[in-house]
Amino acid sequence: MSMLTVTDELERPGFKSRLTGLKAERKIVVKAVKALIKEIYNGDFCFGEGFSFRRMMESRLLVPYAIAETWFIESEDKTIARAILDTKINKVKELLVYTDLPIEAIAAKLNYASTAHLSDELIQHTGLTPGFFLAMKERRANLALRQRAAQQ
Amino acid sequence: MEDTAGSIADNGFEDGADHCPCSETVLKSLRPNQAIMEFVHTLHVKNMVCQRCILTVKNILASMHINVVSVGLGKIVLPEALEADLHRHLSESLRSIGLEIIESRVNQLIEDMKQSIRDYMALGIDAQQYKLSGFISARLAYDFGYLSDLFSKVEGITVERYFMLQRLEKVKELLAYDQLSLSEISYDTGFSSVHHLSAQFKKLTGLTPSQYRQLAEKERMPLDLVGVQEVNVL
Repeated sequence: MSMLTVTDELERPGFKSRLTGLKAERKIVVKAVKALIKEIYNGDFCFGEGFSFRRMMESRLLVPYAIAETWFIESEDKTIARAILDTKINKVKELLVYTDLPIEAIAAKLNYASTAHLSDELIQHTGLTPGFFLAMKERRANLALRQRAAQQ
Repeated sequence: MEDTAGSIADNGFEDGADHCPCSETVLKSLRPNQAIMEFVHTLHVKNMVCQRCILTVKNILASMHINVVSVGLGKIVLPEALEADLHRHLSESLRSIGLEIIESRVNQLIEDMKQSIRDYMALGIDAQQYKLSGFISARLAYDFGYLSDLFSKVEGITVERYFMLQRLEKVKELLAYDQLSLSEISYDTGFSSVHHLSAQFKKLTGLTPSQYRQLAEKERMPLDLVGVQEVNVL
């Protein structure tokens, strides 16, 4: 998936005739932000030292963060930080339930400073601990096994 | 935490996530949510946790050609109830991936819990003398530990969290009406102080109540500009 910059899209032929310049630019930027969040907080991104989403976004999209964020809030009804948080938590839950990765590995994959930070954020957001989701994984596996046995 | 095309997050919380999350959620978090209560049949599903679960369930439903209103964490909303064979088939497919359709009795219990939470909220500040856990437990005649565990397993969030989300939804509604002061709103929604309300509100939406209020005002503006905007769109 290639990252479009605002200027790329503006230079595409036929662009201006389809929509007003302003409206389309916003849509493109918001789409790009969402795609960027998905790309980075997907579990396979390599975070460097001192990673900053804000910096990454500005260098990729060439739009000031503050402006892009107001467009984002208008369209998505939440702040970028919140969208990132939602994506991260969703991914944490997924990795806990669908994979056998240890919590330390999951924390590393999503750029948490430590397992404790991950736990804290998870509990704050869902009210439930990593242990709950690990137990959930067990329950689901047992249920699936029983079902498959019953179908023979 | 309902899943909508192209959106990132859960539900309830989230969802919507949701819910969320799964339910889903959770909500277009800035605009007050209007739950569709009539004319749908809701199946509650246990053990759903994330977007991937939602996608998987959607795929299963599609492969069985079942018409669906929406899928969120912990729930499948259908236009009408499934007939027995189809219901059984769906139940088995879901079980084989570790998800479980809640039998109607438990379904009803979850719905009753949510209703109790709404009723508790409606009692207003006077309700504060009764704890939510005692209130629900007395209402449904079940041990709260059991109810709370059940709720978490089905909805993917705790009862307390769900309650907090409901309160914040009410806050959003009251902010949009713009008739009450923040202290009046916090009193009405059972927050111990404006500070507590603001802190929780900001944690959820990323905006302070005052900022949200201003945003809510701006949303009314586009109606005035409708004529102007239409001229620009070719």
